[in-house]
Amino acid sequence: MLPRPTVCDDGAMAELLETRRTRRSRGELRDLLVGAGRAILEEEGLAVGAGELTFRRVFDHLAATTGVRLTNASVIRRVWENQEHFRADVLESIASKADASGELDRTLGALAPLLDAFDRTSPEARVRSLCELARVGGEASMRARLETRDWSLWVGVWVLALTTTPTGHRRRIRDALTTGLDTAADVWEQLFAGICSHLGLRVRAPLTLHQFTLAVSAMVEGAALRQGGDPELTLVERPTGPDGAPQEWTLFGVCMEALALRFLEIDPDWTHVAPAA
Amino acid sequence: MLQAGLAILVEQGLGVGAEELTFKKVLDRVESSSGVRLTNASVIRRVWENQAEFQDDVLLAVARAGDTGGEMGDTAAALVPLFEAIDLSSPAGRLRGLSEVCRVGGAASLRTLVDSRNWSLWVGVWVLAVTGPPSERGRRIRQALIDGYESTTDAWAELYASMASYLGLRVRAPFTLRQLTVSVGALVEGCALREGAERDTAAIVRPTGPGGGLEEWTLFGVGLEALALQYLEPDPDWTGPVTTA
Repeated sequence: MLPRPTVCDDGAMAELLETRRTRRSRGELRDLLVGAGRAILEEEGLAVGAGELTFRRVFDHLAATTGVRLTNASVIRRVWENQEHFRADVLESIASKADASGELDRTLGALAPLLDAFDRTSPEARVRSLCELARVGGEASMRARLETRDWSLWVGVWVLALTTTPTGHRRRIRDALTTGLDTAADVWEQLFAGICSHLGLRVRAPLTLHQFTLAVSAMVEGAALRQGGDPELTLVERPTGPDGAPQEWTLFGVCMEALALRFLEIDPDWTHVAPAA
Repeated sequence: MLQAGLAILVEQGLGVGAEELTFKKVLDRVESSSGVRLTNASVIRRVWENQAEFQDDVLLAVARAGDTGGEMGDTAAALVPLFEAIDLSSPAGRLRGLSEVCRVGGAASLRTLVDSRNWSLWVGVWVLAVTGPPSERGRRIRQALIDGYESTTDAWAELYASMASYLGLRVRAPFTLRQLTVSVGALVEGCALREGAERDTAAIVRPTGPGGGLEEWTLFGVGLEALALQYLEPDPDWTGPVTTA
């Protein structure tokens, strides 16, 4: 049986079966408890905006899952001034991760095989490829969001931050959201730039790729919020396959295609370079 | 009591949900705003079994409200003067009219939503219901949200149907008007959330005015135009706007 570590009220950690005492740093304690706090929220949802996230529950969670025992004295005034500061830290850590669902990686994973296979020999074929990207990428992107608790937590923190006056902790959470959104937007913008370059597309003047990215992000967030409450967001069958064969589209994919065709156009100066044999 | 509870949430936001909506707070509000003095004994086991049940009722009221922020009314009001000036004599003129409707109506619609405390409360309750663990309470709130959502979506679909009919447009097969409505609703809510996090979004200037004159667009307006052109097309059988005597 492994020794069960105990953290004493002064922050020192002891193992019951050994006399060796280790003192955890403030940062380690913080990471430990923020992680546990997030785990509770992931299991039980925001409920009423982290109001249920008490030190007591976090300590119990840690004891049950890791054997680490903490008391109020281990953290209050050592790591956080009070419980409210702890909650704010947990919410801030969620808020700062705008791509917590791994949506980008999963979308890229779905798109990568398509990019190699696309016919790019004519402007018509390149536009068709763009539409196929919207269909497949839209579906992958939406699924990534809906299948993770991280995303619903993140959007929950976002919406709750918007419904309150941004003072104190709330301002920190809102700032973290903004930073997270900017970082995620930069990465998506790079992805879209790569796709445009690959397919020989450019942004219609005077629009910008950044605006396209923001429009797509707003679309996916609005659509994901509605998913689950509206059956119309399910699949639409359209004759977009080879020779007019029917293909399944999510409504979000349809919207992605609309945005892509409005913001992007064929770049007449682009030259197709066939891949080396 | 319900109205007072709603007023507190409108002023102070959901904060940490409705848990701060205590009987004490609400009773104080009732007294200061109406002079009516109530005590816990006035309501507990008479109106609600307990405070939590009261909080649920307030959340249900928010959930059912749907579009009480007047977003649709404000959007329609912004569009009325526009419709009289639209050139309906050719499909190209009607499509130009559609773009102008997206530009002006989109700006009005987004602004109303962003400024609406009712909407931010509603979407907050929605998110709490979506992120919460499955429970009887969550199920009731979710059902109320869907009811409010359905009636609001139906009302918007009617408005879009009227506008499409006036402009001589029809829905492209195989889409439905409902799909257009849901798509536009998702986009405007996504844009409103972004706007809430990042105010001061610069206007987009496009040469869409008469003679290529520059006009200001919101990002939502541009997206709305994209969706409108995706879902709608000129109706070849259209013979002109239906006018009432």
